[in-house]
Amino acid sequence: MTGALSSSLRRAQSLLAPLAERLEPARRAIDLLERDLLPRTAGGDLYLVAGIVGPNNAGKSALFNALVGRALSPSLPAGGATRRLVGAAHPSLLERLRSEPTLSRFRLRLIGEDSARPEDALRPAADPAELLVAAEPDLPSGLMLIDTPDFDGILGENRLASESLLAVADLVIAVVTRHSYQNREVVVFLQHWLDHGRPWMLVYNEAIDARVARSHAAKLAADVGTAPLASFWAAHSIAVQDGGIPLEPQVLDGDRSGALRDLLFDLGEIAKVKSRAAAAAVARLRDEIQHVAATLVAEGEQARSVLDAAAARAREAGVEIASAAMPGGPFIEAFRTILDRRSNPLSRSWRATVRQIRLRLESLPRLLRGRQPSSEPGAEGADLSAFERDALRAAWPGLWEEMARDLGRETRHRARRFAPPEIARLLDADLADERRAAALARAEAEVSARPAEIEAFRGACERLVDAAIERRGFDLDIQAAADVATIFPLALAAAVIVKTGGLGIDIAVAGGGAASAFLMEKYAHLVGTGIVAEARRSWMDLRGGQIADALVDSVLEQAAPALRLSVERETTLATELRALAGALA
Amino acid sequence: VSGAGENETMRVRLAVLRDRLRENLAEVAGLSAIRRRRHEIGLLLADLDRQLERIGRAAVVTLVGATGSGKSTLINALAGQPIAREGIDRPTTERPVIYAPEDADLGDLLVPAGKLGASGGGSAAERGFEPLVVRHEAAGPWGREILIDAPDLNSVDARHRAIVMALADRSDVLLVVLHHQSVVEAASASFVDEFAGRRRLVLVLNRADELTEAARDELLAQVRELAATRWQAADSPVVAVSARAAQSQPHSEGWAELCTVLQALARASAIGGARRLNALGVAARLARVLRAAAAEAEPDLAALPAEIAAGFEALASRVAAEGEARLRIRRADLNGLLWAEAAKRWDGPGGLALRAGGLGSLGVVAGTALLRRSPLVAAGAAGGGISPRQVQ
Repeated sequence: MTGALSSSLRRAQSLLAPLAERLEPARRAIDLLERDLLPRTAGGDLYLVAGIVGPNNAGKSALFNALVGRALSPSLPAGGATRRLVGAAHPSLLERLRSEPTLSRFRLRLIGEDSARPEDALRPAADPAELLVAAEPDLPSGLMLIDTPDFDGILGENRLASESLLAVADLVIAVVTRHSYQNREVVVFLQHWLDHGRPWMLVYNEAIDARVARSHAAKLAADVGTAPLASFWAAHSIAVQDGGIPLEPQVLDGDRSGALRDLLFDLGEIAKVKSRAAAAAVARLRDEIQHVAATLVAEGEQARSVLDAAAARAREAGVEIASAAMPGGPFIEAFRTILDRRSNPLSRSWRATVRQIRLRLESLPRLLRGRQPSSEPGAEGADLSAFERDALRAAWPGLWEEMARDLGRETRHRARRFAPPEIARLLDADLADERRAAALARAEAEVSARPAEIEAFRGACERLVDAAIERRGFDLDIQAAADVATIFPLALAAAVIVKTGGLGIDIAVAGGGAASAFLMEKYAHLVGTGIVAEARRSWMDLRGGQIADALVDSVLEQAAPALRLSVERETTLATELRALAGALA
Repeated sequence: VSGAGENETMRVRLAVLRDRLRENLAEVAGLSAIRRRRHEIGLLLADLDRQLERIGRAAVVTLVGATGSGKSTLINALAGQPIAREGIDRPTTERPVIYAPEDADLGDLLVPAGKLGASGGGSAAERGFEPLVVRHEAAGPWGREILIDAPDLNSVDARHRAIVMALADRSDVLLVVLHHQSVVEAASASFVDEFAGRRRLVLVLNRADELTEAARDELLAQVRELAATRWQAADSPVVAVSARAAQSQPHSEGWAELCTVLQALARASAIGGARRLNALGVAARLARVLRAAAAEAEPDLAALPAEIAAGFEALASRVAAEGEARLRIRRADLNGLLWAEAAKRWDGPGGLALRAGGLGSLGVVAGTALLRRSPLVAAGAAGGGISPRQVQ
């Protein structure tokens, strides 16, 4: 294994590990990495795992025992004796695996040590991937031979044990008989596990004769879709069933001869099979990674469509709420600013005087109490949030019901129906009826915690006013009106304050507000209709979007962050996984 | 004559049971616990209907089993002639073989393939289900019994399982043919699960000659264990035979036993008894389904009154909250309306200010506040509140 491959594998492990709990293909990929590919890379392809699988009572254990040379795995004429993974390997291999546990693909329980006895094979293990293994000096040192329970029987734990072997086996030895070679379960199971060109051998047991065995073996190989490395056959024999003589399948292919044992124990063959097995395992990992990436992309798309659906609803409500109140200050100030900017020689001297007066008048209340009667942003904000709170409360029932209708449990909305289960769970939790009041409180807090973008609105107003005056061409009258209208309420307020002393401050503030509203209409009238509507639209756009975000966050308190994470994953993680899969090709 | 009378009694009883069930189910059909099980209940009711129809007809015994269990060999041995194709390549039987008395009405055993709902629907399936019918003398050893050789229930060809299902639905007795690899096979066991209780089972371990005596005894024990615990049918006959050997030596031990069992079943009184038990089995299954539904619905039903009350309460408080919210948002408008109404009935500077509308009201506030100090300033303040409309 090359260094590049090994670093790709580690990268895949770190990317997939957080997803393993949630996504089945990620779990399988991690299993494959941790139990097969990484130990393999670490150990430099130390040994070959050959696993015997097959339907119940096909002679798997008889074959295993014949290969090992003694009755290690329980084999009964009525079948069903082996209930867990039973293996055999050369003592030196076992010693190495026990000193370096990272190299092992199974949790080993060594017969004779670990208080393990051969009879344990008659009972299922708590962990299906646990291997009851015996040291056998007659086996080649690079081979670990494993027997499995059946995968087609009524006992679920047997199948789990079979599958945990197949997840990591280099070479699969499939044992079938003339009764089971066309069973649906058998064919589908082998199709699934022998994918990606994993090396396998076919043993056709209990045959009538070699000719029939050959034709049946060819049929099964065609069904499975991958040609076996070699096919073997053994005739039906009561003596073998009885345990009297060992099961010794012979090569079925025309151009070769010999027993399964000779081929399996041949070191040259082991090396060849190992490299094919490694390629198949990497191909399988690549497929799983692609699968995970595709799942993430699909999840991201679903998450985006849920967010879009929520945002569409929230936007309607946000615009409605924003339309309840528009701050007048920035609009008036925009006029002043633009008019100041557009000064000409005639107006300059007049306006300088006016500004002097205005400044002095404006400083009056400040001198008196340190407070400002005009519409400063703080006061604006306080008024706004009171209006917005009322509007939010009014809009809330409609918003909540529409959200619940579109994203709740009973919905027909595509976005929700296809959402992944944990997103659906979060949505249900968020949209539960008892959260309604809490969500409103949160929305109020969120809306007032996000100050209106007064500055952005001021900019928008200035652009609007500038364009409108430009279109009009002539602005002296507006200038005059603006100056008079600015001075008039200020003068009024100042007079009130001077006359009344302390009491008048509040009245002056109220009067300032009234004058602002009046001025707004006045200016708008001078530049022509439409400008107020436009200013209003731009306000609703700015503030409405801001409120909509706050609403989504407070209605989908838990789901929104999860959905955003999912959308982000789609773009970042999925892309990286695809690149990784490409690198493994 | 007594047989016909008994059949009539049974028909009436079943019909009454069926009608009562229909009525009772209609009453609770709206419950979601029942709706979820509608499909299963429908299947069981249809089964009951079919059993009702079959009363008085010839007994139907269908041989079902995994690939390679030797069903065809077994039916050939029973018929004493090669009526079904035996083979060593799997799957052998695609077309069911019906071995029926000359005068028997085969009725719904000859269903057109399209009605099966088998997946695929290719020409093979259509060909496959057109059964091959072989007639035998009603006076022969099988009397009025219909034997059917069905395709494999676990074949690679998934359509076969659908055909076997359809045939088993139309049978009184299932002759489950097993071999040493199919006894504990999940696909075979789950098929029998489907029919256990509602069909009389006869369990046959075939190919006994390919087994050692110890293996045969062990496998028979496994079959009995399955029958007793998994299928609740401990009284089902369990026999080990070799159909192949029986073709040459019909008097071997297991074979004679099987023939006796089958011929006993074929007798009118026996088949009546079996059918009664089958109908009871369906009823028991229905009862089990309904009990589960009832258990599921019970907490919901118990919680219903509280739920309704809570719902009403929530609705009322929601209406109140909404009304209040609307009132709050319209308060400004209402104020204006009141001011305008008041202004119509009030002259003088205050009235002038009132007429000026919403903005004017602020002026009025100022005006009233100042009035106490200086009437002159009050007039000025009122002037400041003149409405934009009047200025324009």
